[in-house]
Amino acid sequence: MSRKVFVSLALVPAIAMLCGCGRNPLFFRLAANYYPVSPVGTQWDYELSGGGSLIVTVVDQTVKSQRGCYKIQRGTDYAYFVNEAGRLDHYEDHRVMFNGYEVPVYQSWVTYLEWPLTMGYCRTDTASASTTVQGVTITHNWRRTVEVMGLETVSDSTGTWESCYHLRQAERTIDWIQTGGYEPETTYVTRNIWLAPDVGMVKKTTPDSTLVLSGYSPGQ
Amino acid sequence: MKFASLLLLVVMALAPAMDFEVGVGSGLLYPVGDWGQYLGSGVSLRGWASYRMNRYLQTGMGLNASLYGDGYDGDASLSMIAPEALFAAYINPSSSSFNPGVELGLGMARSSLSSRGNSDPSTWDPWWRAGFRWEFGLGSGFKGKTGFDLSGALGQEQSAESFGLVLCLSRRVDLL
Repeated sequence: MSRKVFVSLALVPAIAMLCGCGRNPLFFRLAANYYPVSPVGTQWDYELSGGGSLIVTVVDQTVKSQRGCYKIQRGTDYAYFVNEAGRLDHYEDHRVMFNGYEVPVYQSWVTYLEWPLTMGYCRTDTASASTTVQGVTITHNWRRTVEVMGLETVSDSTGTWESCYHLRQAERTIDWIQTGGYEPETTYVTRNIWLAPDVGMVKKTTPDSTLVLSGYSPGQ
Repeated sequence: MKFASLLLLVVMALAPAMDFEVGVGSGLLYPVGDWGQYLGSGVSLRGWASYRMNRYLQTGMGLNASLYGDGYDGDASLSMIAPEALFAAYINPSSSSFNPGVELGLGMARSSLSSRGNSDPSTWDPWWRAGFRWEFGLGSGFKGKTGFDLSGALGQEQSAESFGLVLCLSRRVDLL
């Protein structure tokens, strides 16, 4: 009888294994940071299609609009991120060109991604704002949708990145300078972004450019 | 479901000659380590049937189900279902109020991460559970068990451990 019992017990994991259709590093993805924005000194080097490069560096820890955040330099531009409480927030700083000046029309912290990511995750953020400059009203409508398209493997010159989340980001902006000679100007941008665990963005494509990671060094 | 049916069939096939204990339990789970960075605490439910090999040792089969919620204000949840082979040893079975023991479970766990109706691919990983129990009599053949478990799924590149508090109700079933 005891032998029968032990054979039955041995069957439990065996049957479970047969029922199991496969393994994947789910817990690794849960433990990973898919968009590191700290510490200061972290650097990503990207190669641009058609030549050129882009260096992205976490340059400082600062306060922006009353929130402690990390300041990231992308070429000559700066971006601000906070990664806390299960969310990655980005400081949106939208400006419209008018009479040769950049007019700020919308500044706010907006959630960029929520953790953990899952396949099919979709998030849409919108903003409507208006401002008056030199007696002219400028309206600004913005909508950004981020969708996780899948889990993929990305290969580049620095290696092969597995368990990457492929994100598609569609952004629509309608700016209208409400004075004679101006029409509402609509801009659509679609980006495909691949995020690798504990590295961040390893590839980004837009209709007119491709950016691929060529070097990464985490800060201390 | 198929597995649970199969489990039941095996139990029924072996039943006529066995001194059984059947039970159900529930508990609270707390993920330990980075894998739980975005998850909050969880709840567990389990059912089992065990064969009393002698007064001190038991062996049997069980099914564990656990659900972890989002640690923040998101909608993510992680569910795990783990069929197991279990082994238990108790040191003072003649006492109705103080019968401490240990339990060990080994099996496979199916884990699935969901958020807002979407899911990542689920995974089957080797699973273990070990813990201390304090068994006490409740009258009418029923027994209560309380204690704690350490459990873990041995996932690819990263394991997922949890600490759990458990409360169980069991009954001895003599089918002979």
